[in-house]
Amino acid sequence: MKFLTLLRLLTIRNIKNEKFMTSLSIVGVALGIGLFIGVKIASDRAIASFESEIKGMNPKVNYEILDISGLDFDEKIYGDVLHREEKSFPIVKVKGLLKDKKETIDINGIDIVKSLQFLHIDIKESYELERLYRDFNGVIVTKKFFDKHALHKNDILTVLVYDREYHLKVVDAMDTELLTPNTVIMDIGNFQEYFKKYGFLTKIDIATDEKKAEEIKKFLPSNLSIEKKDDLIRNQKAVVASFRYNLQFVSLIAILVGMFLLYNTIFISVVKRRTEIGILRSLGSDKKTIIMLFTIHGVLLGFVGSLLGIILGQIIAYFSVIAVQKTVSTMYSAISISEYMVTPSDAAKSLILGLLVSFVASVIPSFEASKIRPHETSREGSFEGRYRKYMKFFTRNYV
Amino acid sequence: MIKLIDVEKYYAETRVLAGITLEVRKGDFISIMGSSGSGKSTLLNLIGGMDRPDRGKIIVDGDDISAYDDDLLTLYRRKKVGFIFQFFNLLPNITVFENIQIPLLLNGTADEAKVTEYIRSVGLEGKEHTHPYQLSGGQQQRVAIARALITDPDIVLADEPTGSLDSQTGNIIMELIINLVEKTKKTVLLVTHDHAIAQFANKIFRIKDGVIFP
Repeated sequence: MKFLTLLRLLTIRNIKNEKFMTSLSIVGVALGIGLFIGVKIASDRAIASFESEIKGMNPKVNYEILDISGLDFDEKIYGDVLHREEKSFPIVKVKGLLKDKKETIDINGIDIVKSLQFLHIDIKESYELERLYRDFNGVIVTKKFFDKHALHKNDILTVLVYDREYHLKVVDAMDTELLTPNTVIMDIGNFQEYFKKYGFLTKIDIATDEKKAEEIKKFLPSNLSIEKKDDLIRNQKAVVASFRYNLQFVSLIAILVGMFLLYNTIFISVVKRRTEIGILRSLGSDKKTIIMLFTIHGVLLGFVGSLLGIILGQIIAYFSVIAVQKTVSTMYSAISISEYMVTPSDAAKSLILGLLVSFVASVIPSFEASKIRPHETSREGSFEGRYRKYMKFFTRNYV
Repeated sequence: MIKLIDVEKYYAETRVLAGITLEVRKGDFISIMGSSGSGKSTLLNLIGGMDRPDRGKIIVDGDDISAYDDDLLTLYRRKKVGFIFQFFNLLPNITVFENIQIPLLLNGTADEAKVTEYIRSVGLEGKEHTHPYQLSGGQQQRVAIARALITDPDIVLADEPTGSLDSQTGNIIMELIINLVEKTKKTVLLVTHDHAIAQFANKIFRIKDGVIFP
């Protein structure tokens, strides 16, 4: 069978002729998929941000010591921890709002040499370490952040921390996947001095085993706890999961609306073209051909809708990332999300979802179309026949 | 050869055909006359494999088509039957050329030369790219005739082919049908309530209250 020619004559041409219904369905699918991808990106990035926040500067460490109420704590305890586990890394950090760019950054004061040696990064050759120590407000930013804001060495970043303005000097950029793009590194000593946090730490990262962790736990004061990073990630994920389900529920409703619009379009097309289908059947078209013509009709609309949805999703992603960042930061914990681009994997998933949804939406009316009998070109149709029995009921009630 | 043995058909409780027995030889041109609701179109639908009888047998070239499943009936309609309807039943969104080509496409070919040849044979040269709504009733019926004959079917079923045409155009259409089927010795069953049109056939049957008689 010359199916492609039939498809061109009977499906593509109908799509062109039925401009209103075609546009409505495409927009419906596009909105559904757009919202889905936008919400997915926002929640995925929020979770990723949580994870990297917990993993921190050093992804090879597996424990961390924190104040149970989230406050900074006295650094004296570090000496005792170091005595029991050499692979421990003090960190002091704050969130800063870039004044001009309306973006949040994580400013981390770390023992740079110790941390990067532990990660086998040859910092002495690669980075301007001397200037980092010499410049009181010197920072190393990530390469992504550096490129994104078209920065140059010695540029000044104006940052608001606790409602006070600080000026950070960019001394170098670090090309690493270990850090989230909005992470900024300072020498811990300079950090404590510059942000007036003398003698305080935010946390201590530790690479150790369970036995030593138990030992450390025993001498920690009551305001401090040692936690396994995996447990923290799991807990934070659970917190975000409920938030994510709420957002996904909204996007699923949007997809359902798109699906319903598409279903309606194909269903109306079947009802309107009942005679045409009868003619085709009388000319010898089999049921399979009718099902395929109408299903492909729906899938084509779904395909175009999904492609538009991916573009729309990129725009929605931008705004929902901002909204999610604000909400999560207000409700749970401060996060900064700088990545909002749709990845090829997100696009592929959305396209597959769009095609699947449009297939489901169109296959039901397509089967309905295949049930139209050839002699319905001249007699009352199976559709009217099936619903005629309800007419009496409606008419009686109306009267 | 077409043979109907005691064929009955009901629509709900109404008996439309009441035990029809009929024999049509290959190459016969038969008219079936009857008033509206007499069951003549139903009879044509059964012979054309568009519907199934509730009782009896319809045997075409030795095969009982009343026992066919949906796939076999579809194949039977596609390969063996050409239908000409009263209201032409052309697909509105495609051109004359494409309407005539549809049965070929369903048969797995797209023989454009053959379509052009049939367009010429029904006198519609130059109208290939027009849509059905741009044509007169007579021209639309010519398209329907070309569409019915393009697959070279053994049986041509015409359900009131001149019913929506004026008498002059009706006669022209009938002459066209006769010219085209005579050459190939096709079996033609024509349903009409018009006495003058029925005279074109070489055998006339009448149908009344679901019963057929010569």
